[in-house]
Amino acid sequence: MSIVAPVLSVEHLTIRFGGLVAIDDLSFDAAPGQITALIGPNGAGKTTAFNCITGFYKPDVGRLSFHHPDGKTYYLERMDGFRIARAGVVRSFQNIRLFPAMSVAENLMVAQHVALMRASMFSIAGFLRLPGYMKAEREARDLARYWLDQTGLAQEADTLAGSLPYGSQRRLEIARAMCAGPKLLCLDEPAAGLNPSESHALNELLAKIRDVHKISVLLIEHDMSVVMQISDRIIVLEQGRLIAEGTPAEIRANPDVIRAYLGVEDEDELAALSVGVE
Amino acid sequence: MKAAAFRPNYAALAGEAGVAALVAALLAFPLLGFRLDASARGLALDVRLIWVVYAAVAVFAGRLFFALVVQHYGVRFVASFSRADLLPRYIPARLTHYASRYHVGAAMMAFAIMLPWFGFSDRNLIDKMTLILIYVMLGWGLNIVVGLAGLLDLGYVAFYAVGAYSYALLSSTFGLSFWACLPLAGLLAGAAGLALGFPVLRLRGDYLAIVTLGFGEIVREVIINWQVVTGGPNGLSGIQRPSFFGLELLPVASDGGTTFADFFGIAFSPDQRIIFLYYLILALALFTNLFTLRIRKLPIGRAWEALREDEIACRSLGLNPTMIKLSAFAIGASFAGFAGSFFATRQGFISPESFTFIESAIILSIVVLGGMGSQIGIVLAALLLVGLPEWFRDLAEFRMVAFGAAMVLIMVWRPQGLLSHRDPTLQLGKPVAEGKA
Amino acid sequence: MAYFLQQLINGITLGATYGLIAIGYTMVYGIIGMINFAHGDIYMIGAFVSLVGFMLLAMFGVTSVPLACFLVLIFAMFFTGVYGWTVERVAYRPLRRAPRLAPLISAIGVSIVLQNFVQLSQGARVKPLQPMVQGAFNVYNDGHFQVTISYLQIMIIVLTIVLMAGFSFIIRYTSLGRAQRAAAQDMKMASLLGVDVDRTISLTFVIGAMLAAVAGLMVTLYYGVIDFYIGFIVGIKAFTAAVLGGIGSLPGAILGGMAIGLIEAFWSGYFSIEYKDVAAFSILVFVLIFRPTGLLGRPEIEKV
Repeated sequence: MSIVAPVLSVEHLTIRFGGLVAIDDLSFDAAPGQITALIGPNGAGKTTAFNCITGFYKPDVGRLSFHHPDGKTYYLERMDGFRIARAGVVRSFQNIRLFPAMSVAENLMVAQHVALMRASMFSIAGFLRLPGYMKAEREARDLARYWLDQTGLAQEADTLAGSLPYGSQRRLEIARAMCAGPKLLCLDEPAAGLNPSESHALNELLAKIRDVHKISVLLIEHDMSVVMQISDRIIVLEQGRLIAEGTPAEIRANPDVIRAYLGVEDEDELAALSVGVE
Repeated sequence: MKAAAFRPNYAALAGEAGVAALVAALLAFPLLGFRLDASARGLALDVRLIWVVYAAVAVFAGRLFFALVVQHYGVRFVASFSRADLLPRYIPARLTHYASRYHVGAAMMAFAIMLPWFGFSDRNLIDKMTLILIYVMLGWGLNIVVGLAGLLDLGYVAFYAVGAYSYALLSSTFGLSFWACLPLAGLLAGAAGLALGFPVLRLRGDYLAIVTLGFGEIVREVIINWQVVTGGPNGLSGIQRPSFFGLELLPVASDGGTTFADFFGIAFSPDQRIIFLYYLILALALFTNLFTLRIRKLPIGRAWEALREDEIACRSLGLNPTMIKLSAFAIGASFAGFAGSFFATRQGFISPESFTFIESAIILSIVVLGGMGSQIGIVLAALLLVGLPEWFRDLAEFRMVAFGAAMVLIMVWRPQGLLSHRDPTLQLGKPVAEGKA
Repeated sequence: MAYFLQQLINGITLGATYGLIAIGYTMVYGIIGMINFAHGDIYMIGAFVSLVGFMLLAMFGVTSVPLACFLVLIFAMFFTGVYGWTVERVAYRPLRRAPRLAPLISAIGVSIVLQNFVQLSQGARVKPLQPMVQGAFNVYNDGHFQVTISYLQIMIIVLTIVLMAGFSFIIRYTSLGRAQRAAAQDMKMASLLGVDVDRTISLTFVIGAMLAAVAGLMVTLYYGVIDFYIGFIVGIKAFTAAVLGGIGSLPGAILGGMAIGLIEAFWSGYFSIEYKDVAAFSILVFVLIFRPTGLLGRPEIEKV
């Protein structure tokens, strides 16, 4: 039991699609300033849970509490997706969703829309080029440049997002999410399709986000090298239910987890596999 | 790279052309081969089967010719017209630098400003250019909705009508001048945009198109039927003409006023009003253009484009799609309202016939043909779609068929529009070696 | 009561014609996700071709009304089918992978071409036809009003039911129907499994055009007068019917058609003729606001 309030509290989340129960009474916490991973075989309900948390689906049952560091609590199950993002929960997508006809830099500027809109006072300050707005825009550009540096995309600032190679697009999605000023960053399979060196760079980036910027991260991932190295805590789902939670070491040794992924019951095979996973 | 020269397979080509000719004959048979003549004695059938033969022969020849052209020049050459920017093929590489777009735009603007003073410009030409400029402005206005925000609006003419009728009613009921009515009419059109947009903007693309089309028709039917206010099918006449800041553009001043000619000490000429109207619409259109260019760089403009690209991603970043769509819709509607005011004051008379669906279709075609988002493209498309038919007014009968056929052909040939390049709204540039951003 | 019954009969008849046209819209939308803007004008072509057919038969001395109707039916369905096929081949197929607006503009162009082609070749004046199918049953009389159902109305309703039944059979039990349904659900997969998608789409357009031709024939007989502009308004109403019933659903198209026909009949009967088209559009707006998937449509879950 942690003394500090969790940043995200999922309680009794249940959602059905027609007759299919996609998630069944799921409850877990994500601690602040940590990286929490949601893993599980295909069809476990990970992305569905994500969609509930980020407002794309409305759960049938459950409470989703987001505790913002400034003290306010938001009940996500009732909120529109975009309001959840404004509250500080920003996500990326399994199938990358960039703005392909816009440049990398423009993508990052759109992420800062809310703050810039406020500064532009319904665009009037923008039209008149008032100093307040011009300052806000300069700061937005600086923030964009900062995250471009952090994700190694500084050279591509004016390239069309749609023409970037896959790995760069993945990094751009994270940079864009960070520009939106999240307190809880939700990443849906950020390592999908990345080669080992790119995965390694991703791990470093996530660690920096957690340690330097003190942003909590919730991620779905299949790539175990990323999950095991970077997560502070792992939640394991299978067929919509939670079957295990704990530190990477605990999960690695958990027989239920191994069985869920590999269908293996034999003790010796378990031991052999545990050694292999590093 | 030319296709390898080989003997074209004439038999196959002839076969293809033959099939096309057969289809043409089948199409022509019932409707070209016979004509229904309604007369006092009732309906009679006029047999003109020779037309079926003409149609078949024409299609056969045309298809064969086209196939031979493709064979001779190679498929890739012909297909290349569809890809890439159209202009760079024929202009040396140096000139297709980014800055050249500004040069072209500036040149066009200079030409437009100087137009009334050219030797070859007569009243007719200026009149036609005024009409084209109305459509350019409407195209630029609809571009905000369709090109920037990606909202499919098939009923844009409704806001044009609201602007025109608002202007007519405001100026005749309250006696306000053009410059006072113009913003009010725009505001009313914008309000109509908000009212119409609010319930329907969360609909998906194609559905939104049909609903907006329905709204356009509803507005037109209301205008036709609400005789008491709008004059019904007879329209409103006697709309106040604009004055040059209080100086009337008439031969003789009305009581208490001064005419333009008297004030400047020159002889009155009816051309003066034509030229004044021309500059008026030019100013309005340029205002629309500058507004668009500026707002694209502001957060709301970028939000429109981002929404067009991927609405779900926008939501995940905190953007409120409904508000953003509404703003595009309402602002686009306002510009149609301004254009409508100008239209009313230019004509002096408006009726529901000017606000049919075909107008919405033409404006939408101008935007799509021009290449969504391209300001210059829209000018070119307006010249093509509005200018050419005007010049071919003599061939009035075939005008519309050719117009429709041109729409189909241009879309099949270049579905992305004539000019499809998008200028980015900001440039961050590459980082300097010193590391300073 | 009697008046109500009469409007009911009128509405169902009208609804049948809208339903037949709506099927064309809904099938095309279901398979390639495109609103065939020119479909209303295909219906108009069907009406004109029917009229030409009748005149031709009269010239050849065919006097039996049932025989004439049957022959004209075949005649109109065939030629209108060719029009439908050609439109798809020329204006839509090349744009299958194009940005979404391009096929719509192309369709608008086709609509303009068809309308003006007919206007040029047949003249702009309306074409009246002497009433051919006359006679009616007296159904009910409540002292104030005589309710009748005419032979023509019966023919229209029966023909629609027969076509609907035949058509549903084809869709459900034949390989063509299976191919159609498969392509509508996942075009790429269907083609990988050997379905000739191009041919299936062409057939969809042809069938839609044929049904529209039937509607055109019926309207020609029913109203006795046609002009080149009838396609536009009827097209919008039929599309409204397709959306109302749930776009992509065949029974929905007929149901929607009935709904629109009834609304129009009752509105004109009890309120005023004036705003009756507005009534149809307003229905469309309401339906789309509150139930975007229509009456029988399946709700689409957003795939994130």
